[in-house]
Amino acid sequence: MALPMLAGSADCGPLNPLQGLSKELDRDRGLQQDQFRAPRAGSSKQAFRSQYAAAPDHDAARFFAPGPAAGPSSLGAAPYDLSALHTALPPLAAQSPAQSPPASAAAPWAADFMQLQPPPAQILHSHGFRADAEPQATQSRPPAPLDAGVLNSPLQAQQWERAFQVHEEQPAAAVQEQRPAARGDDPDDLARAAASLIDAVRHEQNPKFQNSAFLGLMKQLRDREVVIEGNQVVPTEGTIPVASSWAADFQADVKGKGRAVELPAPPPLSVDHHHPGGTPEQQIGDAPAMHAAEEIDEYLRQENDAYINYWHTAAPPQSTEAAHGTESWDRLQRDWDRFEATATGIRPMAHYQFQANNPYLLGETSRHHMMHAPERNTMYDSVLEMEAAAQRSPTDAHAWFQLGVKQQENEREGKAVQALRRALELEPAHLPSWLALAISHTNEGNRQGACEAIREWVGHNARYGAAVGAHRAQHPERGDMGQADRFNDTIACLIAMARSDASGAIDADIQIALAVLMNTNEEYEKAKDCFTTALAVRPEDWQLYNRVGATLANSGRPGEALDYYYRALELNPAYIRARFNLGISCINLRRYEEASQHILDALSLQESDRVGDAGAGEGGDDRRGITSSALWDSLKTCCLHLGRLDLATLCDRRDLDAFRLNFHLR
Amino acid sequence: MSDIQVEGFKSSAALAALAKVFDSYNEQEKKNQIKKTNGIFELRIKNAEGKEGIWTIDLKNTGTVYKGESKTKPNVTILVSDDTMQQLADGKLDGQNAYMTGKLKTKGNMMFATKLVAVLKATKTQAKL
Repeated sequence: MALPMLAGSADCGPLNPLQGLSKELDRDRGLQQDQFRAPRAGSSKQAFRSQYAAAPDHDAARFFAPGPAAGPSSLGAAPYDLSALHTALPPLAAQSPAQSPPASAAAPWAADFMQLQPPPAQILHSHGFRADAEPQATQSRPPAPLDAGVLNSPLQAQQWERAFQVHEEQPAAAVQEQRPAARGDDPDDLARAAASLIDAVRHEQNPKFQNSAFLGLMKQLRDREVVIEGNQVVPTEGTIPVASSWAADFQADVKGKGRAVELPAPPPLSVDHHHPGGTPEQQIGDAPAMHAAEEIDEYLRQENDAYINYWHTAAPPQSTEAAHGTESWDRLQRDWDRFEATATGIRPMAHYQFQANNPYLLGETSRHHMMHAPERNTMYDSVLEMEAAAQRSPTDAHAWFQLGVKQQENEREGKAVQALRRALELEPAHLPSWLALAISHTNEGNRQGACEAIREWVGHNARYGAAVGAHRAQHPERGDMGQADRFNDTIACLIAMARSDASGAIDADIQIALAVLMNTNEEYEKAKDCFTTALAVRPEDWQLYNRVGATLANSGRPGEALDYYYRALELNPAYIRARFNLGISCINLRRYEEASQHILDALSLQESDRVGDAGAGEGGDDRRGITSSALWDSLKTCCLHLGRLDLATLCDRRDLDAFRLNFHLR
Repeated sequence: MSDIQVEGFKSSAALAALAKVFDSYNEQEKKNQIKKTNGIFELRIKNAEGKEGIWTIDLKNTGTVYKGESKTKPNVTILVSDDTMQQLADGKLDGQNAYMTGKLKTKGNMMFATKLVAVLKATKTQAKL
């Protein structure tokens, strides 16, 4: 970033504003800043308010008096004893060539205000102010009338303070802005300077630099899109104010800067009235010749700092932009995950959302063939295993059916319905799926859905084709049948089917279908009879035990239901639905302690279906999909009945681990 | 337990349970329940000793159950015996049946009274098949 070199050897050429710029930048204020840091950290702000800015004035005056004698003389007039501060000044400070130029006499003010490099314009403005305050401290300027009111009013001090704070907020940006702003008033000059600068750095390939606001401003200046008016960067008339967010950021900063500068008493433009020709030549003239040797070094250092600072401020918008990009890609990916590519094209996978990272998907399955075994015992398989099976062979209706039934058992009705619908999509004549779907709809309170599912089951049941045909002949199906009519017709048809079997054997499926319909119609007594009839044929079917129990419980006989639930759980201890139903019955019997234990067990079982590490990313959502909210709500009701408000709030947060921990604490 | 439950009224336990359920509702659930029912039931329950207790189920404004007469005009006042109320709450007896057999009498909007059973049932989790 060798700007001075790039800017050309302007020392002997005509007036080069950029050269002046470098001169401004190269003044070493490191020492001043060091000196002023300590007092500021302590009580300088206090002094501001309590002493009406008088003390800092002396401070600065004494500090910048060219000779050691000047300090005491100015101090003598002051009613404040500043000797302590005086001794704190290193002798070198006054002799430093960097500090002696009178043009920078007021710099400590700015330094005091800004830990960072003080912007030149700020110095100049405050210089005018300072000149008014301390005539004897200003060597090269005619004394201006003292504006005591402005100086000494506490209000003024506060304004300074405010100005200071504004500066602190955007010091780095201010540094950038200030440079162009400090330059001459001639817009042509400015444009020329900007153009030459851009020209000089056009080989710089660093994209950060290429996109930097500084370069942007320079380009704007060159193209006359903006002009400097006073201390403001103002877009010229008829131009689009900002081309990019960079420029917008920049403008905002400029505004902040302008506000900060306006607060001090002297208006920005007055600077040049105070010292006409206070442009580069003067600066060059004031600077001692020995200065020149260090010039480039210092300039480089300062320029580096400025750019580092600048990039610190510039980096965040860039990185958030990048983050935004990644986010939208992630979103796209997520959306895409909801679709599946099939032979027929892409279609939404709204019906069933698998758990991520299913360990059963890894490696080959050795049990694939078992999926097609008709009497497969599903008790020992986990949901994950079944999901894996369905994922491996997404066109296997039987796998989907198994998964659906398992999800029913695990008290996840929504997922069960999705899986069963998928099974039926693949194989519309799969009878057990229709029956299972009817049960799910009954549980959801979807009477019509349940009835339609049973009708489908009847329609697809080839075994009773003759009986159904006979029934249809007697009771032709009409399009205008109401819901109740269809319902009654289906029941009649089922009864006809049951009667048609001359062998006298009981078809449990017909009984179940009947019972489901009775249940939806709240004819619990009949429903219970049907289920128990089916149970006589399938004495080991835990689902039937649970169904009898549920029917009893829903008809207001929770006490009798308990035995059926217990039996179901004996047959299949991992039967979450029966466990939950047991809990509900206990609530209805006002045995809340027992109920909460059962529901907690059910929740724990549900939780165990979760993929171990799935919780890392979208933990909350994942878990909520796995444990069902109905269980949590029931558990919460229990807790409220038990007077355990602490546990109830844990239920709201779905925090099973915490709940388990706190459950047995009293 | 709570001020809703009163000694000598079996069915008051069910009402207390109902109040608990309302308490556990969040705003949305409560709003849904109110929207579904939109009315106030005043229950005048007579127990075996012939004493009368009054409870109010407000599903019009607040979604609460409280002991005592309705603060605003109820949509319906239901006169019922403690036993019958108990059976209704347990779902062993359905409201229409009770009305037909004279176990349940109403003052005010009789049709609205039929919603009581639905309210009692909605707050109870259904066992799943």
